[in-house]
Amino acid sequence: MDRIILVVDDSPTVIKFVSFSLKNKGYKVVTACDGMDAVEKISNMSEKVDLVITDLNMPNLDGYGLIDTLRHNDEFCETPIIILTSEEEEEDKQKGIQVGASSYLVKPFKPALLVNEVEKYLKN
Amino acid sequence: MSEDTDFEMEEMQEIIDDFLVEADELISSLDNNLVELESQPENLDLLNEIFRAAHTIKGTSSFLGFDQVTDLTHKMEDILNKLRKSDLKVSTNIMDILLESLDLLKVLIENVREHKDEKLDLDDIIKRLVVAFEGKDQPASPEPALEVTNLPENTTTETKTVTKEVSEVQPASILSSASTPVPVVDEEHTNDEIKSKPPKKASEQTIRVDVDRLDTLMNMMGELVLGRNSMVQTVGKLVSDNEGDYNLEQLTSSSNSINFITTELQMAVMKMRMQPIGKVFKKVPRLVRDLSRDSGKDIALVIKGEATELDKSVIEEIGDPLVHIIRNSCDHGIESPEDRIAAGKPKQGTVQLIAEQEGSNIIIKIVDDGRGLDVEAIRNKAVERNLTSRTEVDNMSDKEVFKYIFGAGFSTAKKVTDVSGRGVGMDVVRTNIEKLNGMIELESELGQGTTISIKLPLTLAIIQGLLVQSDEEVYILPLSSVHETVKSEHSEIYYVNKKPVLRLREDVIPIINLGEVLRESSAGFTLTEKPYIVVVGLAESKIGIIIDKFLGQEEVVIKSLGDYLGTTEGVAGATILGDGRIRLIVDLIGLFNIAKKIK
Repeated sequence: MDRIILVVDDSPTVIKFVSFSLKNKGYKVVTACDGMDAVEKISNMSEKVDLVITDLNMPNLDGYGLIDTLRHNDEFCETPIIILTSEEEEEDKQKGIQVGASSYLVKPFKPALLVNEVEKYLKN
Repeated sequence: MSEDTDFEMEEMQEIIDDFLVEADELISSLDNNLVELESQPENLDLLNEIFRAAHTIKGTSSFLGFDQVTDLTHKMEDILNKLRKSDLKVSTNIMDILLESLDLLKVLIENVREHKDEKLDLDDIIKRLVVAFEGKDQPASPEPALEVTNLPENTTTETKTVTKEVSEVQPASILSSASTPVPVVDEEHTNDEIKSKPPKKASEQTIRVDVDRLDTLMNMMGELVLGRNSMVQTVGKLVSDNEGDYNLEQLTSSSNSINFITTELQMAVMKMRMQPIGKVFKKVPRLVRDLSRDSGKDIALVIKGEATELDKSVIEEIGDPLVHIIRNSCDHGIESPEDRIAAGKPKQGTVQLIAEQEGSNIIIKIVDDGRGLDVEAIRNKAVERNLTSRTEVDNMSDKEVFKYIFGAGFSTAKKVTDVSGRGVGMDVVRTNIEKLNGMIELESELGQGTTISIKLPLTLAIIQGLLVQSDEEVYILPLSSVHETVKSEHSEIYYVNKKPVLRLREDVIPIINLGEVLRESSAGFTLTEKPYIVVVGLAESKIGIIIDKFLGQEEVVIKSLGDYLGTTEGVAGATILGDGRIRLIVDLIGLFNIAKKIK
């Protein structure tokens, strides 16, 4: 069964970049343009999302808010969440981990690096 | 370009294409928002939006390895971050640096688009960005209100590294001259609205479609319209010949519904090609800001009706003429603050840019409250350049005299400036408007200001045609260019230089015989017993066309005449009418040209 990954970012370029990287490795990708959109998509999906990749700085609901929301939901409290961020400041990363992210990647990164990170969680 | 080999070439190109579209949108929003920020330096939502745009460009460009873009936006982002955290205050100096960075960013993005590998020299701007970031610009500003606050003592890792770089820079080099921010009064988006405006979503409910596909669709739509016209006409004939036939009644009702649906479909296809004129208007606030800065004038810009939509092809052509006109308004129209006060006017001049729809046309008005046109100066200039005689020009109405400014090389400006006054402007404007089958009108009162109105058809491919008959031949005139139709009264026709003209209210309009002009017959002006005159307009001029009969109005699709007939002057193309016959569509630009040549 295909693993499903939800990618959340307000930049279509990043979305495409990440989607291509993952689709090339055989993952199924669902995308959302901000935290709010992600929450809506994830709650309307019939299949279970296996992993979430999210940006931090986004309109409507930002990455912290999204992670927080997911962690307070029984269904997603265990789902691995990878933060994609271009915030270089340490405190931003720490804050992300504190609200419940599993790990983070600093933009820019090579597709291989992203796939590596994903496989850490989705290796059977 | 990224040396990344993890993607296929096509995938990479697709990502880059997406990046370019996204960058264009973000840059255009930056352009507007930055200018707006100057008049609302305290608007935090605006600042956040600006910050996010720079942040996003930085993030995405870094993925693709466009390092220069990343470096530049990174430094911009640093300043914007401080601004939104109130660690720095918006100053004209900072605005100048940011806007200049934005201009460089545009060049960088263009280079990416054109696959140019060349690097720009960004050292200077990056140094200045860093100095501004440090808050060291402390301009010897003539406007103390805009002075920069001192840098608070927060020392993040970032500031430390930056300080080192700064030590080599001479802060004096970045001081700039006095300036005037442009308050943009946007009546449709007041401050409150900006605050409540939802941030742009990345995946809006839209898809991008290749323009070629839309063009194909439009072409097929044209064929469908022609087929429909012919069907409706045939069915109508059949029914009148065979009354009471049940099957025919059925056919009539099907034909009616196809007729109706075709019209709806045509509207839908046309709407698909429509874009809000705001797309073009977006460039204007920045333009006015820069012009007023450079000239030391105080100019407010009012934009209305930017949601008015028109065909993509029209949008593409209207940008340059608009820029020309606005430049003229700011440069020649609006006076310096001192002159305005001396003339008893408010210190701040106003330029209005208004778009509105009127039937199947759009009207764009550029209104300024500046010094207006000096009719006498234009009269003198026209005589001086041998365009007309003294007696003639003195008898002309002001409106007619103004038309001279649309002539090539005509300028009454006493001094030629960087931006305008070289006498090329209005000529270019006229040519562009003509190409779009548009009309242009100018009204001006000395000391009160100038209004320029441009009337354009909403779309170019399918036009409303007026079918007229002249000498046994049927021609189609684009209805959007028709001013009015009049019954010719011989008492109102006069001769100037042996050419007939019609006196219509205040106007004196030259008249031509359509058939004769198209045949380039030497006569061209025979006034037979033709009872009607169609007054058509093209850019700033009008002409009367004498015809025998009005045959009606029909939607026509312009088809080119094909290569072997090539460019026949005076003929825009042909179309197939409902009765299956091919008719010529008159090209007014060509017609005007031929009419001018006939002696």
